[in-house]
Amino acid sequence: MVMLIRKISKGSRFNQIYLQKDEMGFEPGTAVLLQPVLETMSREIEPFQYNVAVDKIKKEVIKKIFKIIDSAGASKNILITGSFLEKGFTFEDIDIIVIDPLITDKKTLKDQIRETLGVTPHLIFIDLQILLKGIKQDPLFSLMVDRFVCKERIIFRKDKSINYKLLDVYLLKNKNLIEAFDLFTIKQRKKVIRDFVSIKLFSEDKELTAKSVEKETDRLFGKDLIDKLAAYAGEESKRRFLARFKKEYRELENKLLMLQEKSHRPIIDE
Amino acid sequence: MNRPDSIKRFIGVASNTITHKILVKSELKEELRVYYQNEISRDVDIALAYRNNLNPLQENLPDKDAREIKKKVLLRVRAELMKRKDKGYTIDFSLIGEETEKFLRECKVQ
Repeated sequence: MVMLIRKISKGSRFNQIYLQKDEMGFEPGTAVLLQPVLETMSREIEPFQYNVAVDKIKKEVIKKIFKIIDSAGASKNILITGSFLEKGFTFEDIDIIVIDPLITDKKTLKDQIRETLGVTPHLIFIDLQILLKGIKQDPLFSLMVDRFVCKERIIFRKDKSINYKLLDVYLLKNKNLIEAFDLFTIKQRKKVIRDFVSIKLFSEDKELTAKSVEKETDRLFGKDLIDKLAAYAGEESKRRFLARFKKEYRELENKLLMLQEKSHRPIIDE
Repeated sequence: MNRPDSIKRFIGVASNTITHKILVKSELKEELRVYYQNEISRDVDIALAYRNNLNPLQENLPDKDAREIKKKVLLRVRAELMKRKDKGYTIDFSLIGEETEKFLRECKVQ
């Protein structure tokens, strides 16, 4: 069904709907229904939960976010993901993916969410096709849709298409943790470790979920050490972690480059 | 942290960040780049933090230091990219000089 959203202007002569010649999908003479869009959209939205069960308070926050984004412009869907969906209230920001947005003033929208809810939104505006491609090729996107809450029902296929160059580019942005560990905040350190482990699992074609990443992180670095890094990293913990991270980083980088070379090498018929 | 250590750290962070920027530009389609550049501003801040351990703060570094830093950054970036060239990457090597100059100016090195 074709839908149009327009502002009303009134004149004294016609009581018909006036559209431009090139508006698609509406033939002259078609009967249409006129209704105020905001009132229609403000009906109670019940969010869909995928692989997660959020409590009542968070559900209310999510509904409020949907309303604010809807009032800023149309979009195909809105997904809430990331640490906000974990139990408790230790999240630092809310990851919000807005699919196929028709929102022009993105900065105002961000400020509006921050002022209304008192939390910082991390807004990602993305076309559906790019998101679907990202889920296939990129561990970060794939992990984002492991569990989420959304406005409209949506199911993502999680088949992989491994692109070693992309994983290498993605890995490289985590290398500065080795050079400048002390200047990374705890949150940034956690993110780098999570990204690193996600790339590793993804490149090995293993299951990629929040749980599997946590399990592999504990296996690689030790749960005690990871807990210490998340609170206060003493010199000894830092030294142990960096030695391990350097080794793992080097191994993963070499493996990705080797696999990239293999996949790039032309196949010669015998 | 003493001056040689800060310079060493700065060179490491700058080289990684510039290499990452060039790979993003060379290997990713334009519509995808935005999602792979989020950490670049974080890394520039980190490089600046090491730069700000070095005097003078408000002016560029002395020529000798600036030349030494630039030489080492160029070498490290080139080595990282060369390592990838034979593996099937299509790297625009002309970006090395351009991106290095830009980064060092941004950090008030030269």
